[in-house]
Amino acid sequence: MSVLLALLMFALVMILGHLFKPRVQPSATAPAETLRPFRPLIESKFGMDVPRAYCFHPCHTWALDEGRQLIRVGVDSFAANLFGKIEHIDIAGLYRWVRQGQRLMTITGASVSVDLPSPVEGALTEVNRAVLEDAAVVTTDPYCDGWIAVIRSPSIGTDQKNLMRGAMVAPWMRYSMMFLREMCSQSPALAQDGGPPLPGLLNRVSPVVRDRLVKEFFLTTPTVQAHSADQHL
Amino acid sequence: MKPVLHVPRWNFWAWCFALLMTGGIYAFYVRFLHGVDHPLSNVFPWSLITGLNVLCGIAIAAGGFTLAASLCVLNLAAFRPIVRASLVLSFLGYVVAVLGLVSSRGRIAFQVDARQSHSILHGIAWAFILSAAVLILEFVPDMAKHFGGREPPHWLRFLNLPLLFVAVVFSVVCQTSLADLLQSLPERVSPLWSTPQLPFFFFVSAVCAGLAVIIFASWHINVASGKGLSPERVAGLGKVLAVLLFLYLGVRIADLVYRGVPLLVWKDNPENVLLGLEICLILLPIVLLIDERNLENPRIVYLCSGMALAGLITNRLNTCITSVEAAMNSRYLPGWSEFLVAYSIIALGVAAFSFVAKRLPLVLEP
Repeated sequence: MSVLLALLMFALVMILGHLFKPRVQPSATAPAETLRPFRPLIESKFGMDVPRAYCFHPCHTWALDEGRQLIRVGVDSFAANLFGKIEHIDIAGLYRWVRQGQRLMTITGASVSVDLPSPVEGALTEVNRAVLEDAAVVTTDPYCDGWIAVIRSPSIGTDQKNLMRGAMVAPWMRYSMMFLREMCSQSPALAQDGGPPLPGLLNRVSPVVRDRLVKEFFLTTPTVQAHSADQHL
Repeated sequence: MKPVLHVPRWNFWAWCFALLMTGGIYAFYVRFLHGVDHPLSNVFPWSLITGLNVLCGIAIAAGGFTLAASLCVLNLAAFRPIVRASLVLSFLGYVVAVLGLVSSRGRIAFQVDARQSHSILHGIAWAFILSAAVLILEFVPDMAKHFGGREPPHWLRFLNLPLLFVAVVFSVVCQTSLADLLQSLPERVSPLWSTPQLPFFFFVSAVCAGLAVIIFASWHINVASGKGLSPERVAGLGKVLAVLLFLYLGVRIADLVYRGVPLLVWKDNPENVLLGLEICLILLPIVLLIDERNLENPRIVYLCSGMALAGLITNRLNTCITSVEAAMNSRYLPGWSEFLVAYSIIALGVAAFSFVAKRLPLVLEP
């Protein structure tokens, strides 16, 4: 009886510790200066910026292998451009284990929130605090200062096989752009001469088209912001 | 610059701590004024405080010391960052054990006979004093820096290693004496826990407990301030913990089989069920930590360390309470003052560790 009582108390403390844990302090993430990645070499292919050595998940998140099983991840320029002004980013907890394709972050734009998956599997070891404070960095510099997190991935070799890399990236981006153009052919946000779409396309199209875009490019269903829903009503 | 003393915020844990300490201090006072509220006797001499505070406190302290000493001798750079945390843990383990011993004896008049040199309390007192000395020597430079004082002479650090070894010897002696004390009357202890190998089991399980507490504490330090061990280090410690737990469980089961004690964990007896629970709480972390993927996940390693710790608590309480209950065919329920005193002492230990972890660099990650 006493043993069970002691174990119950121990379990209770662990559960309460989980429920009432303090929020991660700023010191949990290293200063942005020390973690800043090298600026990637950008190649222009089919009129699009393609960073060299980056791998891409079909849901438009990127992964950069920095050695020692450390993978820096972020959102690609296509996704960042679709969101336009990003208001807030919610990232999974520090030291949490995320699987490839499992939710890593939720990006909240002006009208919609979308869950984006992790491009690799592993433990979340660092989070970019600058992005948490000012999410607009993701739109302005998605491949360098706008990185989201660092994941320690022991199975990066296997995970990379499911990602697009090297010569596959440019055609895939081109296909995404063509598809976007096709879906939004009636939208004034896309120039008919084939130029890039205006930033924040998700906020400029009708809810039906927006849902289709999110489903097509992020393979998920969006959560509509309350004020945006009121606006459409 | 003088350090600023921060007033702690009144969050959920602060309220819990305050309530528990108020109750604990009152119970402590009542026990000293009117004696213990549970009729402990020669038939049933152990209480919740003995099991939870004294046995577990000494186990964690001995584990911490052994870890710190082995890391210093083997000079394992990979695990060097946990030496300080181990030392603090050892000291607090002894604080918990000493407070438990003092309060488990009740009225102040009974404390006097604790001064005999052949008593186990004598050994504990020495281990406590030495652990305090080692800890002071380890932290003096940081304290001096923190409070803006002059740094102590460098040669003072040379005293650390010899003191640490004497402290390890005393902590092992304490473990052995406790094990001998528990089975001084073998007919009053169930054969499931009474064995000639008990001192060895106590020692190995103490090292496991020390390691488990370090992983457990590091997780909470990481959650609170991010100053804990890195995931790589946690994975390494998890691997070592799995090996030690496997060794402990292996020899424990081998001993039961060798002595011909039937492992009837499926039988309806409470002692069999509790032995089964003890084995499960040690086996489960081993199974989980064998998988490399689980080792890479600090959350799973943390849960495994929690289970291993719960296994140790179960083992110590089984050894001093369940085994006597089984052998004497009696039942024991802790009184309210025992309950309050036992948990308030643990709360005090946890709060002290948290206080130290916030102010001093316990984990020295490069």
